[in-house]
Amino acid sequence: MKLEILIDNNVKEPFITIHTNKVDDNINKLQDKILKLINNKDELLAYLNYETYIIKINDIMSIYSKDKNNYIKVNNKEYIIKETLYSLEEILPDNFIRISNSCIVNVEFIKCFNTSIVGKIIVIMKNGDNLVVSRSRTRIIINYLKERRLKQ
Amino acid sequence: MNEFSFKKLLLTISCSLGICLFLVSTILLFNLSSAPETIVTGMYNDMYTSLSSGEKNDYITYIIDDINNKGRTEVFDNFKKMENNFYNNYGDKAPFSYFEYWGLAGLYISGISKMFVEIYYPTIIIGLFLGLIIYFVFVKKSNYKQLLKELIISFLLLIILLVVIRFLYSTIGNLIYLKSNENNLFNNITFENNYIINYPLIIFIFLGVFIISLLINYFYKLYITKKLNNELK
Repeated sequence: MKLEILIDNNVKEPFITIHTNKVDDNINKLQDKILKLINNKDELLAYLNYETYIIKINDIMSIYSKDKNNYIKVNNKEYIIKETLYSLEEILPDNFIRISNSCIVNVEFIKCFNTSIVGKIIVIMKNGDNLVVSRSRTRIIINYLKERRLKQ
Repeated sequence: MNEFSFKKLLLTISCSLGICLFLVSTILLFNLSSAPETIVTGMYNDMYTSLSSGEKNDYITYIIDDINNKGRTEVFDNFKKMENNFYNNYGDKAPFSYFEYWGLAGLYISGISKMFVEIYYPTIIIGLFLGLIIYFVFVKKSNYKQLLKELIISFLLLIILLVVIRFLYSTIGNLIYLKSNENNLFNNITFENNYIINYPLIIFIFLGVFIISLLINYFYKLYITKKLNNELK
């Protein structure tokens, strides 16, 4: 695949065009990644005790929903956020992975995986938090970690 | 979800077990103290009905075993002899006949102990199950949906296992039994009496299937966890 950058003084906002004879999986992946990069935010607004904080996304350990609210965990502090997990999934960088319907974790903060006595897979975070991996996500997580390892 | 604690699990199980045993004991003692006469009279009548109708049951087996598995006519002859001796010794002072006295005593003991075993055995199992469920749902705060799923799966496995056992018993087992017991004393007994799966056995099978399914699930998850940890490194 060739990459061409055209410099035109008349263009007010940069835009990307992909030239192809058909749309296949590779094109779709490329489109997703470009969109992710465009929408990528470095920071997020979070709330704690009626105060607003600007949190760097890479500092977030986990994002989860509890009691009809969405929270992020940063340095063992729990902040409320307004974004839904679904919308965040679109803009979060690659080091975040969804482990269940109600939880997204930052892989950089994972210490290890463990099995509970009732046969559930648990993610043990570096701060000691235990989070449950849903059965349907297990295969996705294995593939994600495999891809990640190959990239490194 | 809270961390697994063996102490808390033991405490929960012993509490539920204690409550179950206390409740059952209270009910059982209340019933026994209020109606011993009914039980004894019932057993006494039952014994006579069984003997007169020639029907095979536990009480007759008990009596027959007692006199070294002799034939039915010998059993009656022996009883007659023993009864006559008893009357010769005690006469009109005896409250029961010799046969009635020992028969009743035997019936009473076996009946009561059987009743205790039949009631306490399921109580202990129910207490254990309740304790486990209370611990995992309310103390450890595990996902109750997951528990429910595993229980349903094990119940389905139990049904399959029961069907298989019934099939084996009714086909292969029946043939083997009939061939090997041609000269049996109780030749007139149908095989069906022997393969009815009683209540405690069902609980045993249920427990077995439940534990096996949990173990399979646990080892599979251990394998997945190992794979995940390898990928994480």
